[in-house]
Amino acid sequence: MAETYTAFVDPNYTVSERREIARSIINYIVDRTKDGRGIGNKDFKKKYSNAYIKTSDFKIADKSPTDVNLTLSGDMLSSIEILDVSVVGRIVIGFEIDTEDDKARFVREKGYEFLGLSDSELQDILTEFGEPETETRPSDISENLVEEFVRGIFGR
Amino acid sequence: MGAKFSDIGKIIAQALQSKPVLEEGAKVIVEAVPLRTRLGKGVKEAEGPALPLPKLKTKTKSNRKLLAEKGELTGPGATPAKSGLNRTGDMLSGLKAIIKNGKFEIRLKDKQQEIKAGHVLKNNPDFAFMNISKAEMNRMIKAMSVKITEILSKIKFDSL
Repeated sequence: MAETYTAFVDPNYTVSERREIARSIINYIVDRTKDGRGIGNKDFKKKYSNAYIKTSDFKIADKSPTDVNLTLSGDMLSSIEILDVSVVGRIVIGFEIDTEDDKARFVREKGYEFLGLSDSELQDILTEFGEPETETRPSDISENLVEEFVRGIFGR
Repeated sequence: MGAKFSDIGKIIAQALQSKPVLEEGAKVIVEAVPLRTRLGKGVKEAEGPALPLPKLKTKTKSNRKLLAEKGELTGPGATPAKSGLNRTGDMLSGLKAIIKNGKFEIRLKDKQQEIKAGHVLKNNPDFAFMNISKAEMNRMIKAMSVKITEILSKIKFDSL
């Protein structure tokens, strides 16, 4: 079964609003993970295992043993995609690429819960986004909105 | 007079071709491609997945072991058995971006490295490494979007 996270939101959000919220969720998860924290902002383990530290990959990536952030090449976190926003009130994010999905499952089974949000984290994101059907004011140009435009230009 | 909010798509499309934004995108790729390749992964098709490079032949591994013993296996993190186009590190270390006409292109350091890469690919096309993977594309888009948002924050949008 694929590694996914489903967020339930106000059904009054439109598809494009759900897409923008999904983008916010992904960016939040990536930034939080790179800061060494998982769901609910809980710290990951303090140190990678000795066996992993001794691998050539660890040396090639020039990683620090105590900087636990689930980032070697960065591919796994960069592969979190918006999977589905077509259903009213529901947002699904996860992995489309099998190898990255496998990686995510492996790290989760190792105890690193990163793909998801606590209730309060989701609420914070939605509070920042605003109520559904808010008339867009000229000043409302968020990075997530820009990213959706850029993805559209790249055909993604 | 400020810009119209309804023109934001056009403004973003223009910004996407500007040097500061292209530099941010290029920086991501120039760093990502060598690291990903040294970690043993290549990309056969643009925006495809990063997949393991072909395993090294037994003879190649033996040669690399001899080089390692002589101190000549100098690529960052290179080991005799690991396939990573990383014998000396020269080919991947000098990757550069050429920004021109609203686009950027990634190139190897010089003609000598291009010839080296050509030989590798001629021997086995499965060693393709210069394509950008889907994950790398996502990171590039993210970096360019951050830069564009910074640019847009300086524009006054005063009408819809």
